[in-house]
Amino acid sequence: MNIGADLFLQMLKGLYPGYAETDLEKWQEWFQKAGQNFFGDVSDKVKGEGAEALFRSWMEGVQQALAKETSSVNSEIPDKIFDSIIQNGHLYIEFMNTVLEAAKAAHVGDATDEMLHEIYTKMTQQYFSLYQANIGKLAGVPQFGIHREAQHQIMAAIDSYHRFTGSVGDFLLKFSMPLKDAMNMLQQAIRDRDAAGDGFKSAKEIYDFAVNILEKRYDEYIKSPEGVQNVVDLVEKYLDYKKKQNIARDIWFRLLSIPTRKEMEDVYKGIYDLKKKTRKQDALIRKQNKKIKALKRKLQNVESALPRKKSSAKSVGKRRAKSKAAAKGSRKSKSPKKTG
Amino acid sequence: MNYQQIIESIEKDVKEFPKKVLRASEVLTGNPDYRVAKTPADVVYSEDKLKLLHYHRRVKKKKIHKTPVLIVYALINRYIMLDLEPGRSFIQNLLNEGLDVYLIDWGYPTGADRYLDLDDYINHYVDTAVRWIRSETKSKKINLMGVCMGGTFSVIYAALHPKKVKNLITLATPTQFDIDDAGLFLWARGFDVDKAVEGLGNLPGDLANILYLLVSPVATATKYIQFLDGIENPKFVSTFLRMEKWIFDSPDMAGEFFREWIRDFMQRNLLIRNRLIIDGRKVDLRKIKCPLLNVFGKNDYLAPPSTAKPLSGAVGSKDVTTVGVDTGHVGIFVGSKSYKTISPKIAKWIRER
Repeated sequence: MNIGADLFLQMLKGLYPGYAETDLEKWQEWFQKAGQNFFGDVSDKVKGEGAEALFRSWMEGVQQALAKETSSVNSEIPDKIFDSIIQNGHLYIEFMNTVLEAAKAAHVGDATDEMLHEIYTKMTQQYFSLYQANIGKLAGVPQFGIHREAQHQIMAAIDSYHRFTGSVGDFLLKFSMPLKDAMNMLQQAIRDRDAAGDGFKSAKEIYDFAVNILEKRYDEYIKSPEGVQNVVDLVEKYLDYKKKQNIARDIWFRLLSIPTRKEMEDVYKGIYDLKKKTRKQDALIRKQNKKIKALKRKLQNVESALPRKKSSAKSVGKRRAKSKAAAKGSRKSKSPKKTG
Repeated sequence: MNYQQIIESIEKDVKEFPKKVLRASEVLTGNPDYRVAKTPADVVYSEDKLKLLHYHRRVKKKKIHKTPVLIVYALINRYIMLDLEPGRSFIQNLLNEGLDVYLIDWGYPTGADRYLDLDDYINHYVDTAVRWIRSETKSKKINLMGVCMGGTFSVIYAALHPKKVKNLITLATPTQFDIDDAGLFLWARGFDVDKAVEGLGNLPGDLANILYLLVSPVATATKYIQFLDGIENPKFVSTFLRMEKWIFDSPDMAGEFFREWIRDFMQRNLLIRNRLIIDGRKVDLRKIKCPLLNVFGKNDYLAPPSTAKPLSGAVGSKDVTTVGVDTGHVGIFVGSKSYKTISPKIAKWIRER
């Protein structure tokens, strides 16, 4: 099965529970055609102004593909979706442009925190508009697709991500200081040794000397209070980000009816507690069994220490004779089977 | 050599560098052998992620030592370092010395293992492995050998279950944690571990790995230059790749255990002060009365002598042997010289007891 088509069908099923499964194959074919149309054009139209034209050409392809299948598929709902997507194509293009703008700003590094914040706010708003226009309206999802608290948490996660990436820069800068010191020391050493007429004999000697200095300087730095703080700060920022990312991710999971991290942890905790309880019970049973064994042994010792009565000895003798006879009988009855 | 000649020499090296990189890519894509942990073993018991391995005996003529050895490895990285390659395998050396070797493979914890704590690891998993071996081999006691964090586990186990341990062997094992000469210990003291567990759940192995590599940034960088220099030596390349495999094969660490490890060991140093409580029971190192062999690397920067040595004076045993080896953390097991001498020493020490 085509994974893309399957995924799309799953999305449709999620949005419209009444979607008829009997048309599965026709939908797959439709989706593949739409995809071919899109990717067939992508090579020469992928950049700049061509993007809008490309988008429109794809949607036309989608409509053509849809038109061929209308006889057997109830097209009302998908028609509505794709009409809506075509009408709001400009929202998608605006959103993607801002995504590119954000990516450029983050990676080129020429944007201030305020500028980044502005870009991300714009991007989020555009995303909400797109979502509202295409999915929110049709699926009857209130407000902007996600509630105000969720918007706040998502923005907090994006913000903490930027703080983390900023702290990576700080960390690297501080962490490279011993390297700078070592290079200065190396240059000084070259000058000093040259002045004393004891210059380095080879590039390898310089390399070994530099490695030695670096190792010493880094060892000192890593154990210094500044070095420790540098690592601790970075880890703290990372943990901040992870914590907020988890909250934002759980919101998405909830919206998509996927178990959240917290819910999974609760399940794991339940299983763990049950297992632990079972283990403790097992250990207790083992302990009790040991005690029972020890008591049995004691009992046997006590029994064997007791004086035997005549009558009991007779009865034991009779019992032994009986069991011997029974054993003989059973052996006889088995032997034909063996030989036969 | 004057400046001009040195600069020419550096220029020559710089020009050769891309050629070396190209050659390295050829060698690396030429399917070099970097298989690890190839010594034959049977999985004799398994539970959750744990597997208990029993190594096939290698000695036929000599009598196998009757008391089995259980190796408890750390939860950091995997035991493959003990069985790196033929001719450089700590486990094979122990087998050649006539020891009957078992090993706990902790596997790869997942989200489902998030709540495993020290009590589970010591009083359940290690104890279950010990119980299994005792029952199968009819031995009343076993020899317990712990590596790094696994050594700390073994020490705790020996203190809580002294009747089951005949001899205790600790290799590169941290026990005193309030030391100032190891970067990781200093860093761990500054971490907000509750926040870490809340944010991460299990400690991701890759994150831990980054921190380990950061402790020795120069060695981390220069080893790749050494690798380029030795690229034409297939044996060197294989060993290098196997070490890399070990370094980057980092399982996650169960969240609750990680919390205890950082808080109770790294930040509060409870173990050596006999104040660690597990499942309501105090871990009193003075209750370890069995013979102890405490081996550490003199140049170990992950578990330096200052963290490993104090155990020798903290146990209640009168038979304590402390051995410092001229090597680092992994050198004890794979160092070209030390690994050949350490295992015969350990085997001799066990046989004498």
